[in-house]
Amino acid sequence: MLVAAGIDCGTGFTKALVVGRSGPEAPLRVLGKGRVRSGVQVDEAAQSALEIALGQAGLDREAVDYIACTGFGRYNVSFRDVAITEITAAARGAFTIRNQGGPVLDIGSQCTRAIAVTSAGKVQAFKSNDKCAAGSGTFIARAAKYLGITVEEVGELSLGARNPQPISSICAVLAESEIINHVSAGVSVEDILRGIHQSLADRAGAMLRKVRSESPVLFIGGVAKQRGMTEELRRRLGVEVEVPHDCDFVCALGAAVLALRRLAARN
Amino acid sequence: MSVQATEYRGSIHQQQKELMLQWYAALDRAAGNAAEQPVVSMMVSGNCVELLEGFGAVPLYPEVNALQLAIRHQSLDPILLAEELGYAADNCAYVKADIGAYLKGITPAGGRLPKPTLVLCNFVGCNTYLKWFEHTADLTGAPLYVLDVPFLRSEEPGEADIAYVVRQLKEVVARLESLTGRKFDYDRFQQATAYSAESEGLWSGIKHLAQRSPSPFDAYFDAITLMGPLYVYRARSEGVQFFRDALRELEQKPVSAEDEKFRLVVEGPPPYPYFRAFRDMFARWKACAVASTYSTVGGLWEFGFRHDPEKPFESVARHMLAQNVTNRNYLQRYEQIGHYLRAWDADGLIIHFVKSCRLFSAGQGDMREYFSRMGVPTLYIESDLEDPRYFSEAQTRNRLDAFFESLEHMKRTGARRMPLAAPQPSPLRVL
Amino acid sequence: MAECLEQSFEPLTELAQDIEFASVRRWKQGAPHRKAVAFFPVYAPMEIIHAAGMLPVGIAGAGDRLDLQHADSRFGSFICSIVKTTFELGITGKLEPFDALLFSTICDSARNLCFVMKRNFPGQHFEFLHLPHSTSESSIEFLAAEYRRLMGELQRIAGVEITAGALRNSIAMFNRQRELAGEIYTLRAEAPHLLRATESYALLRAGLRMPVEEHIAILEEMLPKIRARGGKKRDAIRVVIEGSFCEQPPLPLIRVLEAAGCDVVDDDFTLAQRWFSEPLPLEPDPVQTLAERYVRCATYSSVRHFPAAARCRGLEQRIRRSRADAVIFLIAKFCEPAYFDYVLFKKAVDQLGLPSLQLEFEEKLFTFDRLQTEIETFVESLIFD
Repeated sequence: MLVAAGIDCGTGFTKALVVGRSGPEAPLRVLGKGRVRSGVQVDEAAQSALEIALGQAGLDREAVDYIACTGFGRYNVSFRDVAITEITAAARGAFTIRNQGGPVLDIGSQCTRAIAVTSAGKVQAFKSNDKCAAGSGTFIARAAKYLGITVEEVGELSLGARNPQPISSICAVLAESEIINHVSAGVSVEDILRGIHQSLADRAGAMLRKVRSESPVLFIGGVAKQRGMTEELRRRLGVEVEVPHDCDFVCALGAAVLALRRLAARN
Repeated sequence: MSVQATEYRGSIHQQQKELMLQWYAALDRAAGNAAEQPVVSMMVSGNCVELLEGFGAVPLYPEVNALQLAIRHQSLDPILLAEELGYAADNCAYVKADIGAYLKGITPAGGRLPKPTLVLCNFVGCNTYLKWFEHTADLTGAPLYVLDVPFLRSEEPGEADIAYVVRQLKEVVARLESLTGRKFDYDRFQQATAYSAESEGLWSGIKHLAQRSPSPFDAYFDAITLMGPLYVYRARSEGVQFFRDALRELEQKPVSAEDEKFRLVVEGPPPYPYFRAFRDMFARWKACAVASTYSTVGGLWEFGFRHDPEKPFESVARHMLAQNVTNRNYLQRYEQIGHYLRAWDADGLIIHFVKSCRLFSAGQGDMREYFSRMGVPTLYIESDLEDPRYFSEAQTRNRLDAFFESLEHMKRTGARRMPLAAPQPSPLRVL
Repeated sequence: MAECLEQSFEPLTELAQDIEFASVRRWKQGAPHRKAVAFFPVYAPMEIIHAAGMLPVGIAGAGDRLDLQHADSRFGSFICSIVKTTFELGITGKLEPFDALLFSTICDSARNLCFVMKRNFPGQHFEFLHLPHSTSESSIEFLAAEYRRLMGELQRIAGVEITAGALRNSIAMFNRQRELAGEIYTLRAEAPHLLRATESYALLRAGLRMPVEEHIAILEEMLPKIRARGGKKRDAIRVVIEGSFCEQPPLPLIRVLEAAGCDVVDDDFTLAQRWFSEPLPLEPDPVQTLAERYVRCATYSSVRHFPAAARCRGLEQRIRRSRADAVIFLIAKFCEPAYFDYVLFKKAVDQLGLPSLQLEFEEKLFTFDRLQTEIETFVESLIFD
């Protein structure tokens, strides 16, 4: 069996996935996965995540024939065979899950991306958000902190909104002052959170329109776990939105699949 | 505190509305019958509407359309569409709104907008206009003529500048003759400059009313209402009539000393998507703009310039070259503001930075520094003239409130009129 | 030998980025009464400055070498870096070697910059040149008059008369410089492995900081050596860069592009030296020639008016000549001329069936992670099956 690993070194978490295939026509099997906080030592985090995945798979380090790294820390992993961008990886991961192309929306802690994937699993077009932080997970995390709740609570609380208060500013600083105004005006936490999700959804929608890809949208990345956000995307974009199981492992999966392909090509 | 108190609505506002509707109706008719009614799209600033009269052509101003969309809260959708087509977040939002609206088929008055007979880029100082009109011509397939107006690099335009613009104006005439199949009516052109001279004199009279204390006229917010007729109708008898009525009405308008607490000079275009809210922020403090640079985009008539029926081409050229704020250099704008502060007796200066318009905004921090050093209370705020996403209502109100509070404090403590220091020596004299 | 060549790029790279203008100061000290004229991008009639016995120097912001202490507050948000760093160069006294500074009608921000600087630096002469945005016959006559006006100002500052003979000599010099610049780009299109984009950048942009005669000598000496360089062609995609005609992208970003697998076969980093592709005739009247050629024969450019179709044709020709596989739009943040042209260019490039990527940079950019990701994704989408 050919065994390969994909490691996604994100800004928040490092995710490793070990996959295998017993022959060229055989189905892809996910053997194990690991997830650790990235911290400052990217190499160590990658090592730990991989060890967890190997433990699940019941394999030794030597059993892995090829390692592809992706994410912002991809070049810091000393034991990698190849580095691939998270956009290429996300496209391939999404393609592997869906077995077809189409639009992918990836909202992580630092970055939001819209990717159009071809029917061959390649990147056709993509848009990243401006370096401004107002459009990604960190912004939600900061808002949550200000509102005195945990990030994990955001998704459910947002669902309970009755009268969402929109955030109209594009800039994170202005958006935060808007949130503060809402709080002082007595707006409920639920309504504020839903308003944040609305503004994020609008922005994501604009990016998706720029890459011009047909629905349904595969929504991945850490923020995809927030149900309020998914709900808002569906409502405001008027498209079907699918959130895969393990939505934050999609890039690691894509990297692992590409690693396996390189390995097959080499053999 | 009544917010409506300082906002005057007389019969001229009704007349203004009717004139603008009449204009949109003419554009709508032109859309139905291109052969009968030539239409020339132009930039408001330094426009040569007089020349169009020689062909009976109607002007089409994309800026006016864009700002109408913003005032009616319809600008965001077209802007987003333009951004989807590749325009940048930091492109001028007037252009994005105009192009987006064209593609969506949205028009400000709901009627049709015609394809222009000629896209006449009377580029006066605004390089963004060159791009805008290139794109409009490309999109609509209308012919384009760029009237290259040399930027004012000295106190007065040089002979070569005037000759160059006059030659181009004559090329425009030839171009329009071939496009419309009509002969240029020189007499009508001359008559148009005579009407303009009259309208301009009356408009100047209105601007000077604001030298009274209290002022019966707000030279920023009210001026904007009157600017439509100024750009569309000044070269016609309707325009003369309108400005005659407007001057009379404003001269007779009763104002009491309590209606005016602060006298301001305002620099920069307004935030049209929040026009009403912005105006109220001034009204609640009884703050009156006695002068503004934005109201001189079309022309600097309060300083004496008039179109001249004896030299119609040359006077149109002079107007385009030197008699509008946008084709004058930045230091000349400082002098214009300095003159307003003195001759219109203002308490302070408000600089409104709009991200869309770098012509206005690039360097306004230096302007603030210049006037603050001269002892002028100066407030600098940022937003946009078309894109509603760049206006923070609470923040803007807080800053204006703080500014007015400090002006009030200065008045109470007798520090009100700080002697205006003489402007720094500059080789350029404007006025 | 090869190593020797590598090393000769280093001082040129330094010279091209030097914000102390040491080379200009040295040149001025070389003889009494020498004067230098700085010009802000994109184009300036360097021939006229040269014919007055002055040194024309192309300035291009300050990269990441200067902390902004004053310029941010003078220019506010939403204004590009080069406007701010140029002002900062002035206020920190670094532009002191220049007797005059020349600006032209390239965009709204640069125009205001000229006059803001004029107020803040009263000891220096500021000149604003109106380069026509028209192709009408009358614009030639106007530009000739505008050049004569400039000559009058320069003659006053330099204290010399600009003769027709001197101007012809200068045109001949700059003809030669343009010819050599053309050879460099031809070489890059033919054999990108022989000359990296960053090297070519240094080679040409250093020429904006030294007398044209010296620059010609350097190019004449180095070109044969570059042609004789070894190395093999690499597996890379051939890209044309469009949009960096004024503010310059950080060199590390160009290195990232190359490292990711792009061969930059054409760019617009130094249009001033490539403004005319054909030599300018010396007869009959040199001023008239400069004006006429500017209006009739200059390169397409985002900072002057062109009908949309003609503009796109310009880029298409550049793509064809350099046999590019893709276009990278490398645009300075807040650069409105480049933003607008992108919309037209993108449409044209799509119609050619060429892939393209839009990237935004700022002078002071120092982390390239996000841009690197985008560039690598772009390359990966083109080279992997």
